[in-house]
Amino acid sequence: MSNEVYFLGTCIVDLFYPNAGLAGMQILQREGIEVIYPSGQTCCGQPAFNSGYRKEALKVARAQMKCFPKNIPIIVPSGSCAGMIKFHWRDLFKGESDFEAAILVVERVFEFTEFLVDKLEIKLTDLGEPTQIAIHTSCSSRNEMKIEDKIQQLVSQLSEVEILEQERKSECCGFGGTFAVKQADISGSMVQDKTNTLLATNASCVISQECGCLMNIGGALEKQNAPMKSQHIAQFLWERTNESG
Amino acid sequence: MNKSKNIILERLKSKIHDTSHRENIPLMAMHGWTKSEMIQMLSKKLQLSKAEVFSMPNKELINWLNDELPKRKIKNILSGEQIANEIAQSLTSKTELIRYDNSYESFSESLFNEIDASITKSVGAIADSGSVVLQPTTDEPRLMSLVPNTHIVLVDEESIYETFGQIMLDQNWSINMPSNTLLISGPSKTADIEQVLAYGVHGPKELIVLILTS
Amino acid sequence: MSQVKSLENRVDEALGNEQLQTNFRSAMDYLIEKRSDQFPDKDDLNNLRNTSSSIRSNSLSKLPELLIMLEENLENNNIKVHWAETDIEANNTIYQILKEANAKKVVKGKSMVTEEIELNEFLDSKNIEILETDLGEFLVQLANEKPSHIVMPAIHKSRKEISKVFSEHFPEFPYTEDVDLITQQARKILRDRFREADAGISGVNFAVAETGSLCLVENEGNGRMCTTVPPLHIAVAGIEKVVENLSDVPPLLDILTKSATGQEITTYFNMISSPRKNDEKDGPMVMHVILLDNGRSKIYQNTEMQETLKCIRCGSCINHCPVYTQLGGHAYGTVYPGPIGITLEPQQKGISELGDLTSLCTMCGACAEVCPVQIPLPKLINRLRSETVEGDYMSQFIEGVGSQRKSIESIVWQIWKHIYSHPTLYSICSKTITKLSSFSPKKFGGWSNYRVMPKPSNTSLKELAKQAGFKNE
Repeated sequence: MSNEVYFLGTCIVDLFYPNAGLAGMQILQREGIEVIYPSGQTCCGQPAFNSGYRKEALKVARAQMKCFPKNIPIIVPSGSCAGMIKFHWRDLFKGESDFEAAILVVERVFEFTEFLVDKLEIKLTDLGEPTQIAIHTSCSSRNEMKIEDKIQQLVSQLSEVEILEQERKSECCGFGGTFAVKQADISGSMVQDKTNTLLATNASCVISQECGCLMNIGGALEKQNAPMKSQHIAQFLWERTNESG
Repeated sequence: MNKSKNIILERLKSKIHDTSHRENIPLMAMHGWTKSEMIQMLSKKLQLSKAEVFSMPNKELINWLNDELPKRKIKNILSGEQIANEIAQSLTSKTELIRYDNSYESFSESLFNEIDASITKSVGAIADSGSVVLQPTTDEPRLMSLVPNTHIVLVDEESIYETFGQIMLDQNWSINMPSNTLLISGPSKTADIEQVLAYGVHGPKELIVLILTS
Repeated sequence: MSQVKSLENRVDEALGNEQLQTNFRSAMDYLIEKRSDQFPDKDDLNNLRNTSSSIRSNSLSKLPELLIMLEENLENNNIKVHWAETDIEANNTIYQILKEANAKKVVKGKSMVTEEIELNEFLDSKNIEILETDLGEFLVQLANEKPSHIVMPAIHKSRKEISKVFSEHFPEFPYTEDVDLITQQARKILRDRFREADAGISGVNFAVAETGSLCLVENEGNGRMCTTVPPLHIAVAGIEKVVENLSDVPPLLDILTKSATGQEITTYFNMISSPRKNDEKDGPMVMHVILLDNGRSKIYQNTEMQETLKCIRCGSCINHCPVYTQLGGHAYGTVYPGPIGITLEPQQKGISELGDLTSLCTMCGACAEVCPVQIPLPKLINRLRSETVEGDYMSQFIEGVGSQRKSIESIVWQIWKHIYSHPTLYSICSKTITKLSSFSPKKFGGWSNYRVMPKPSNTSLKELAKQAGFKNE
């Protein structure tokens, strides 16, 4: 296996959760991997694509292609962005002259937890204090990427972390990209139901592989002044396994 | 009328079919159950749907009827000629045997308002879904298994199949479908009010399946 | 009716009704669990889904031929076939048949396709009495409402509400909230109606081309009553209901009942292949089938959306839809709610009228995971969403393509496109946003009613990566 990977940080991580992105890159680096963060990357096109603006999505997606020229894996710390590229770029580029070039990107995409478990077979040693957490597996990780078990497998390696199961775990948190703005009240009602089931576990933190969900769930928890933190899996893992952390 | 048919078919035909896309339909697997396993499965599934199931040698049928019908306050029972020929002689006077020997129109009043129970044959049963299969005939018309409060069905143990697919294949239904074929898997029921199960909403309140062994 | 209100109003109303939300939540929890109990083995489920999906795809791939075969075999079985391109034509045909038979009283079995053509309203206007006989549909009709779910029509109503409506209409029975008693009262009322009826109307679950048989799935027995007791039976079937062979039926029946209500099988599976024959004593003297198009042939032509027609109307996509769970069926304002509704209805009635329904989806994909015939619902909804704002190709098949494009929204996406497709420009914007992160807005539309605003970090990942010494190409 090549020793190099690209890191596709995603637009939400770049601006709102950069530490999660950095933590992901540091974990990969610690495993002896050379991580490249192409500076020209912006966004996979998902926000516009899911809002029906396919032409706009195509233009932005196309701008990413030249950032990842080498035939090495592209690691994405988000199930939905990985899913966007893996499953929807084919649709988006269908009939376009650069379809073949797009497929070359599509075929190299891995979601972060998927890569750690399936490709690196990573072994983690827990250095943190005992804690209880809940896991929110994002819908795209579950239904589209079919990798919802990876995050569970990673956390299970941490000896001091207990995973608490919330009711209706697989139900959508109500984010849905622009859905949260367009149908704000439905989305609000959904995230209320989600935080209710999470809080009922009494976990101290909810972990996810998806920053969109975290923005939604974490934002609602904060608005409610609820005693629960939210954190991306990469940052959670890095903080618990990093010796200098 | 044909105008719409033409418009619809034209539109459908204008779509070029990708025949390479045609998929193979995998066959449904068989369980490989023995006869007794099938009887067991059939009974279990029927009972889960609140049907009553009894298994008995053929010759015991009349005794069962003479015992059970009065116990269940069934005063009369509707039957076709074939079953009547077998039981009429030995049925006690506590139960009146009624025949569906006219067309429905002249029989409607008594069918709906006077008859307590019916007894019919079946063309078989399906073990894995817990169903009896009826193909109503002139002798045993369609409404016999629907209108009376209690429906008793006779199932020959030799006619139990594992699956729905098997019975239709084995009995060559596709060559000659009768007017009506019914899979019946319990008494009539509904869950339309707050998902609470209630029985006997329109059809029989009781389904009794008698598995006859030789 | 509620259709007159805007989607926004209907959504507000649904979210504001706590009782309704509780009713739906508990009903959906129940249905999800019951379905899951029927599929203990994931591989078995996948095999059955593959089989069912292939059967439906094959039927569709031969649709015109199968419809002709079906017509021929139905006619051979003495079942008269009519083709209706539109809802109006279907209603008129049904009315003509009833009129010629001098039928004044009609009983109906549960059928979504007759809801689709608004047959009840039509026959009412012609002074023909049409009575719903499925218990749930009967209660909904008494309450002068519409079904809120395609399988469980009265799922929005609590027992108390039902008892009240029932006692208002039938004061001769004592008021009760006992489900068994209400059921027995309904039995008594409806049994007389079946006998008095001049005609019975039903839908069709599967129409078998090979044998000319109509298959009906039900638990109550009212469907059998409607199709057996009255002297005339009229069945209405969407043209997509046809399957080629009798052997196609068992897998579809199996997955239908398990997916719909979590039942191994329903109480009755009724296969009708002929009206009363000369020597038979019961069954309808005359049978008609209406093969209804109502937009289906256009969906069929639309390659990217054709899979919509694979649907067998089990409702499991609805049961698993988190948006439906919040809203219930009436908020959609359509006959079919939930994922299948927002996929099918805008294609049938046009995007101008119903394009906004496509916003009722988070793209979570729960529906596609449970669909027994593997319709890629989120993909279809997303495709349709793009047709609401920028479509071109689909205008041959769907009315109102592009009609939902709003100028502000579209400008936002133009700006977004411009920034995100130019890395340098993105870099400048991103630097500005991170620098000014403490000045970021505290409110944004409805988002901030339920959550705090996400605050941009004061350093972007790109900068952090650079500081940490990661290579940038």
